[in-house]
Amino acid sequence: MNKLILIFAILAFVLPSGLYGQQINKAEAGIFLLKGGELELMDDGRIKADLLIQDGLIKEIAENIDHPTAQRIDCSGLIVFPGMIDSGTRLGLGEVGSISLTQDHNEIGTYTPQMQALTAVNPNSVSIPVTRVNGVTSVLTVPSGDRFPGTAAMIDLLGYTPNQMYSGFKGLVFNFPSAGRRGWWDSRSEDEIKKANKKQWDEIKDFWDKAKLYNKIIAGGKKPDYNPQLQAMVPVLNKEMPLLIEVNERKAILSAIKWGSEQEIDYILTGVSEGYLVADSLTKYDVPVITGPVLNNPSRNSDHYDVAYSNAGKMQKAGVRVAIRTNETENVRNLPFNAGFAAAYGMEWKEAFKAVTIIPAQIFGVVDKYGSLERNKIANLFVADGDPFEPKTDIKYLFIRGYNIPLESRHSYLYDEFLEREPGLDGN
Amino acid sequence: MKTLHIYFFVFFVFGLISAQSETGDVLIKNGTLITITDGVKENTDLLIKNGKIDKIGKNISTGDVNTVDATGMYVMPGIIDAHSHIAIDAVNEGTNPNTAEVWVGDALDPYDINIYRALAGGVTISHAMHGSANAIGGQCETIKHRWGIMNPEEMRMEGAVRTIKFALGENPMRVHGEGGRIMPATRMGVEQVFRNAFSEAQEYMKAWEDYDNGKSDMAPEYNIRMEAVSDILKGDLMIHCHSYRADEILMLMNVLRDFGVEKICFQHVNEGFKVAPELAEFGAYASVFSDWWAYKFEVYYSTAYNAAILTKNGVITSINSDSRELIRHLYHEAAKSQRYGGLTDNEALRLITLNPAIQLGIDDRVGSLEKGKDGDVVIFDKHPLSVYAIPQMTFVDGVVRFDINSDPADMRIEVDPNETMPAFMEAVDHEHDDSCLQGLNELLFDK
Amino acid sequence: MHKKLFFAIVSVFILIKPGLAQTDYNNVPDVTGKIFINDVYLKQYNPDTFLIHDILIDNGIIKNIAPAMEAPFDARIIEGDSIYAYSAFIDAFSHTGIPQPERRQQRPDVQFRGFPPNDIAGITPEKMAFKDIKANDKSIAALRKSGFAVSHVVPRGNMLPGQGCIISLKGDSVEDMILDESSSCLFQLSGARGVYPSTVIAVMAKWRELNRQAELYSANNKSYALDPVSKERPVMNSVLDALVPVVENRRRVFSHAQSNKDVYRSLVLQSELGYDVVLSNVRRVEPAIEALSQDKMHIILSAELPDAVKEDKKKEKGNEESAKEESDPRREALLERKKESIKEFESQAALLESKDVRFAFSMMDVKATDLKANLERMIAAGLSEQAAMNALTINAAEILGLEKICGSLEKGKMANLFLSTGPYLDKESSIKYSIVEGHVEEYEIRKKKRALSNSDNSIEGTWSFSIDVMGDLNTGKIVITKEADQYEVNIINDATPDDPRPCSDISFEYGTLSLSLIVPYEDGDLPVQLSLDIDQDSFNGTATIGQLGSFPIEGSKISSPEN
Repeated sequence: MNKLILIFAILAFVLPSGLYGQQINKAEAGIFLLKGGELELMDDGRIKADLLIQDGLIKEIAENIDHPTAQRIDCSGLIVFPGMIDSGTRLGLGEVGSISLTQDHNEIGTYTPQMQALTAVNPNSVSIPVTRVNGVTSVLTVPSGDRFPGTAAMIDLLGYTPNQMYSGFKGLVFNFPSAGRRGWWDSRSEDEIKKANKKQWDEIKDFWDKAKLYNKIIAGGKKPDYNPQLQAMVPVLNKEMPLLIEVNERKAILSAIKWGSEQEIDYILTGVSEGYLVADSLTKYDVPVITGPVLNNPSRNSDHYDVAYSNAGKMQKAGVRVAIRTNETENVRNLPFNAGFAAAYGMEWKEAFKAVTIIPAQIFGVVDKYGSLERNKIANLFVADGDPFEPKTDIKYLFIRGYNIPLESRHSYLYDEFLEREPGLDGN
Repeated sequence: MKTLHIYFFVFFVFGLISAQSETGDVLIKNGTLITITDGVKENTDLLIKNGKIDKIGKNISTGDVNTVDATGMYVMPGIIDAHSHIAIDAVNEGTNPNTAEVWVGDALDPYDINIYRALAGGVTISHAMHGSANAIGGQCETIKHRWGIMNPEEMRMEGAVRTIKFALGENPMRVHGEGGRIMPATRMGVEQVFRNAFSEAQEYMKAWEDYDNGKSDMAPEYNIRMEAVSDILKGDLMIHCHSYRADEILMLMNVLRDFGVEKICFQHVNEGFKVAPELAEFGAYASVFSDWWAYKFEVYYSTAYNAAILTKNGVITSINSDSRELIRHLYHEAAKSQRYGGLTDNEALRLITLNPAIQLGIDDRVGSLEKGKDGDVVIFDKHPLSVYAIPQMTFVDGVVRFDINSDPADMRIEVDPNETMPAFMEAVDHEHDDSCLQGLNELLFDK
Repeated sequence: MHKKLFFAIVSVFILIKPGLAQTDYNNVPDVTGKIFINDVYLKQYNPDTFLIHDILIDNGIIKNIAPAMEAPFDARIIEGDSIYAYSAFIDAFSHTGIPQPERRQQRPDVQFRGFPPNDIAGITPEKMAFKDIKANDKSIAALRKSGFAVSHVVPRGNMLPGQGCIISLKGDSVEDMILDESSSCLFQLSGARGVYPSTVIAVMAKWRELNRQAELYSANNKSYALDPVSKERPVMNSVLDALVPVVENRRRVFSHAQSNKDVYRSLVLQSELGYDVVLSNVRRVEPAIEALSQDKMHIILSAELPDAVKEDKKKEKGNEESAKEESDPRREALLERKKESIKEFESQAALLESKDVRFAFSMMDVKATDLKANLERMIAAGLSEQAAMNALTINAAEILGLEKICGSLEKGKMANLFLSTGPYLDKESSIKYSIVEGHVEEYEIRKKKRALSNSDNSIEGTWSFSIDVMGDLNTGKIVITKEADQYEVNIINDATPDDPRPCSDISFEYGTLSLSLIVPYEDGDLPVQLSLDIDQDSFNGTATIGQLGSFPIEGSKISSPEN
């Protein structure tokens, strides 16, 4: 009888949790020793070595590390990669595309540089776990909208407050006027668009001049009237924060380079889909470039079918520092596949991998902490059984800020629940 | 309806007369053939004669036939996209919740550069569909990507099953309920659109039957919309239904049971995995996205494991694009089912070959490398499920329609004489949530 | 202008119906309907030559054409010395005479967009084009001045705008002009805005349905007429009534089909539904060549061509903009393709000629004054002169069923001709006389100022003008400014200095400034058209004022713009 009660007791404990929902695993803090795997060191090749994670950092890389209390993770036959960085997304700023009240990246107003993407990030966005299980550990999340839509921020994909997630880089976004059509519904002629842009340029020049004057007044010790728009421009004018200039069309890229270089600011070009046509101008002025998505259609009907695939590779071969982005909200997880296509269509594999790791870290000025497997960098990394760009590859372990992250998300929960649904067909 | 038969016959005959599609001969030598139905054959040749697969075997020797050396390369059946809106000049007649009479096949556009781009991604056939603005949309057309032809008629895939687009959920509710302030504004209303249409069609058929049998002297009104809905009830027009939520999928299956309609292919069906057993029992097909979700509320609770779950529950599943961007790398989209659900190579490749062929009623013609099937074939330089695979040549009916070695930059057939440089399209944020609702500027935005 | 005098004069024309014997002493009516054109050149083909003949016209009919005739004593004589006579042109398909509708109307407020009223849906095959024609519409006079005498006019609208009519381009009222009040059923592949059918696929489905319904309607009506007992009475349907002649092949469908795809779709529909079709305003004929060579249908080619590529004048500017444009590595190849495409359009007419297809021209999309330049381009691309002239005359007459009464200079046909100062296709020649059904209109030949280039913007500034209207001298100022690429003109009459009149339809080409404006008078407005030949600091030209006629106007520059 006791045995029966015991059995029932055990069942009573086990069954309800099966009926009422899954176990949600939490991020685990601790000391972790990754033993026996290969480490992807990019320019320094691939080496067989152990890696110790402690205090949130990569504490040690060496052959045969030992540690008394570390949790050992057997990585034999597996490869350790630095966590990938997507340098252009709206992750955390939007939940459901068609419901505008869940979209926080596009504020009203032409000149709103003071809008902070970081504060609007939803740390509990369902898309975040969905993204990181594919090996993307940090992203730049970017406001969208009119001319100066706001300030972007780099975040790690772990944390319950935006501050916890913040990685230490911010950039001011500037959408450069260009002669392109905004969408398939935009039927304006090129002349009409040019005219509209000319008008905008006068306004932009006016705004920029005002910002410079504002900055001058502050530098001189006086306090101008409250003006959040101009105040937000000050770090850019003082070269404390770069300008992220979104520009895609060839002529506009050349204008942007010319304008940016004249202004004595730090700037980064983003988008740059016709960059392959003006790579020499980009190298001449050493302009860092964030381009993507790679999985994109050509911008003109007359373009070769693979211009978007080969753009990043062509620029990189010409000497441009190129980072790859998805420009996505809920499918940032496709970053490795974007990099994979760039590698397929002419970019060396190593450079494609750098484009989603160390290059964005350099461009954002956080390369001391991010972008590669090196001692004392933040432990953002993942372990896989093969090339992370290949869909067939499985990711086995994921670490962000040194926490062991469960490889689960809404998508995997639904898989677990519905692969073999209980009840099945009966009762219909 | 005798009158209708004559009508249809005239059209059909004309179709035969005018559409003579080109066929070709080619011998593909020494490749790794992924047959889909008969395993993977290494170092094997494939011969296409008069547009049909004639021989599969080792060391085929034949007279004077164009030969392609596929050593080290992979040969698979041409990829089939079961949900597309390329190559048509009209996608949505969004003015009424039921527009069963319109037919996108009337507006084929053989000059759409996206056809060529799809060929560069190994896609030989696409299902050109009406959009999802209406609960009962318009008739669709299965087309072969015969790039270079001028006559729209020549794009039709002769003998393909006739299909019609239905749509459930937010799209028809938004266009008609929110936009037009008429039913359907809820999923309850969507069900009634179907029941009304089917019931009215039954009455229509009866009225014509009476006239044909001499029971009445004056011909009843001819209503082209009711003619189309009648065809659905008679099983001559197969439903492909844009759907997301599990409950609406079940609703439609129940409605079809009530009216005796047996065949249906659900499209997108993001929550199909929640009712996989019911879909399997009905015999319904599912054509899904690889990983699109969260762009609308009805897909917020989706999973990229959808294709794997459906496949493992016995539902014939395909992966589609519904996008002029995704259609270019469906081989990569299929590969994602290996990361999300661990499908085998053959299971994954079936999702873009034989399964969509079954769903479009053309599996006797295409979808696998078998003798007698059409010469629709793609040659890849690496295994198609690798992210690094690049299609090298794409054949439709044995004719080369894409060859990476003779692929100049500007492949447009027709050029606008009024512009020198084609317009530059800025990157579109979320192309996918516009694709099924194309062509609705005035109805949705111009209030 | 003295307003009262003006009003008095105008009211004479407006309030009293013309045609009755009135004391209108401002104009002098024609003395006689007999006209003798003496020693005029007539173009012949095979061999290519010009014959010198006389032409005798009476009561709007050509009585005789022969060399060395004796001029009747009671005829008006027109000296044909170095004048060339041609059969007047026939425009086979256009909206001539039907004014443009007002700016885009508000979207119709229809509760059920899927079931709109027929007129909003664009389904009005019962409508008759002539009811929309305004006899004094500018386009009629413009066509006449370019050598036309007859036009097949179709209504404006969407899918089934209505029935076309054939008009003679002369007359004070529409009734005077009608040669055939219902000559065609117009079908277009264009949908209604915001209501069913809005897309081309819905239009095609609807067209099939209407054809089928018209057949059944006709059968039902016949059955009922034969024996109405115990039958349900068929309800009248004006749309189907108008389509019954189409399905019974008694009225042809003119299918407006500009592009390749439109032509294919028109052919598909015709082949399914079996009506007689004329492909109209076609720009690319390739899809229809086979059907045309087998004489299964007729075709009307558009006289419009895409703009030719302008040779680059920007080279002297050498500024950064154009340098950047030119250095786009893709541009050259794309420009080549564009030029090839333009050549394709230019050679459509030659293609039809090579297949022995007799086609006509549509003036729907082309300005009357651009016709000659376009014909020259088509001829340069391979069209023979004879085929070009035939298309404008006898072919069009045959297609429209008028070959017995017009389309060539022959005894017994309508006196429709124009007299030109040189062979028609010569660049320097202009049309001096237009004769439509014997009614003569003379045009002033303006010497073209070659010195001025098209982009000469020195006309900006303030000009003085003076114009004599029936003894009344009016003076004032014309202020011309230029904003981006658009001219802005305001005219201030010294008599009303506080009322500057803005001008519209402004164009400045080869030294001639043309514009329109409205001048108010007592109870309404008068439309005025100005055509001014500007030469450095002075101009002279003509002002056409409403129904009053044309008056010479001249002026000179007072001041240039500030900067």
